[in-house]
Amino acid sequence: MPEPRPVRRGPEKAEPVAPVRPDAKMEALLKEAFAGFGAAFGYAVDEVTVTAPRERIVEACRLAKDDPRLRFDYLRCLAVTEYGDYFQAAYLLFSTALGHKAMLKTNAPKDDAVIPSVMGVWRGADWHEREGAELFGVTFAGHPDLKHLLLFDEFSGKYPMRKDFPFEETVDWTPENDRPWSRLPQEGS
Amino acid sequence: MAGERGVETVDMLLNMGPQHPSTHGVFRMILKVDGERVEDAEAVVGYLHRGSEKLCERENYRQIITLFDRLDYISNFNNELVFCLAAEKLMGIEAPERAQYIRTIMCELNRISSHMMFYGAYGTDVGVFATAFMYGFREREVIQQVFEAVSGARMMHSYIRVGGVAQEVPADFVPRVRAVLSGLKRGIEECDRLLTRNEIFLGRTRGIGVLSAQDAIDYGCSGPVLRASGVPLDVRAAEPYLVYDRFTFDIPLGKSGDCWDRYWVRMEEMRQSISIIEQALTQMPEGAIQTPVAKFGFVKPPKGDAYVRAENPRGDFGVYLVSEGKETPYRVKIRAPSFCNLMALRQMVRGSYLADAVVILGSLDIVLGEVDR
Repeated sequence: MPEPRPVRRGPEKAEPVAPVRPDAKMEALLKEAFAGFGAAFGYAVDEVTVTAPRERIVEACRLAKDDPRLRFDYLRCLAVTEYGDYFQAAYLLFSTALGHKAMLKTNAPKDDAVIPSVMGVWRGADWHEREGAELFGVTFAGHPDLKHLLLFDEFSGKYPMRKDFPFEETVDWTPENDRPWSRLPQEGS
Repeated sequence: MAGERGVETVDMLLNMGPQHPSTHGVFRMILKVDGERVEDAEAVVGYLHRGSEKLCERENYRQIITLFDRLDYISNFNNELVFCLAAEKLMGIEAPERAQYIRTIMCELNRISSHMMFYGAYGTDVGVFATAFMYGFREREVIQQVFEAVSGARMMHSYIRVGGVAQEVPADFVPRVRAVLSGLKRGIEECDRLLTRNEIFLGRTRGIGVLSAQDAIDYGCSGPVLRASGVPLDVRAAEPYLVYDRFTFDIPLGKSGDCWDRYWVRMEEMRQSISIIEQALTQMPEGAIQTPVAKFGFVKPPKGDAYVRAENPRGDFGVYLVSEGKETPYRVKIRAPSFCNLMALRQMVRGSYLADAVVILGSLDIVLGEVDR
């Protein structure tokens, strides 16, 4: 005889935990470090966000990495997001030495979707930028080799992560569309 | 070009994959070789690209959990967890304490089962054909049976939900996991004796594919790859989530960042995971396992963005979630640890022997499901 399962209790009342507040010290530090950047400050739940103008994003990233108070040497992630009429790149930073985190952001209008590459600051930005370029059509200016990463080469001119790209649309993957064996001489030809 | 003695030599391009048994999936490497030496390597990924991030913008929060199962298909529980944590963070809720413990135990068991998979596959990569595989999979199988008993599925569990877990664990859960752990302890020792100090294994892995701490940080490597290079960064300790701040555990660190260190770090991590699970089983309280959100599925986070990360078997798995206050997320960006670790491959392979390229790739323990997404 299998043992009877214990009676399950009803769900407890959902009680929101105390709202997570971003580190006030970090906020003050970032406001001081990015004072001359014309940057806007905000929050992403528990992280402080700094939105820098895109002309100065490389400079801002370098400052974030080199400033002895910040020392953001670890790029956790680079996320491109499409909003109404602009693209936003979010650089999620972490310091392995000091153990703190922050988020840098920059915006690029849709009709001029160019963001300077930060590969010179963190080499780890490489594939994240290639991915952002092929899926959103954002050009990361200064990236040494901005070719396709996840999509096949012929999938060009269409950016599947954009909101106006329908879910149902597919690009056929035919032998002619394929690489590189499509360029090999066919049997009998 | 003209080589020694004026003999004309040409560089050879060698294609490896995407259909290759030691690429752990569909991964292609284009190697530029000079005789036996690899001069340059280019990684070609994307063969498994399914547009998971795009699909996340169409499905609702409960459905997305099934998509996350299919990213890193060796450590399903860990993936589910990170997405649920991201949604919970935006909503400002927290799962009940018992659910937190169940999640911790399942994730740590999943870490052991994933590392056992690595152990078996890596043995095959370095030439211990099938023997290590049998030992690794014998241990893994016991854990898979626990997964089946708890969630009903061996893989793709969809067990962790926003606000809790799907159902109560079986009545014999605690004694069963304890029995599994005592078996695992013996099993890990056996695996250890088979490979770790084996002369041939040491010869194949010691000093191969060295990655310096500086490079590892610069490329954004994480998990065992980063820790093998001597960087003590473990998300469980650096930014404790769930109930990890209540356990004591060590962070195993490598010294030189070679293939053997990456292997050794994983073997030690399994022992640490056993210790964490034992502590969690002792501390696990009674109580509810779901908040009403999980029960009825009303998941609708308020407007905002959040980034959550957790320590997966392969490293730092992150989700950047943007919500517009609707039933579906506005944007989900997945930061996959294998994706970032793979970026460092080129650096490691350069200058090594061709035969070592497979050993180096194996030591990264990639899963293409999360690289390509």
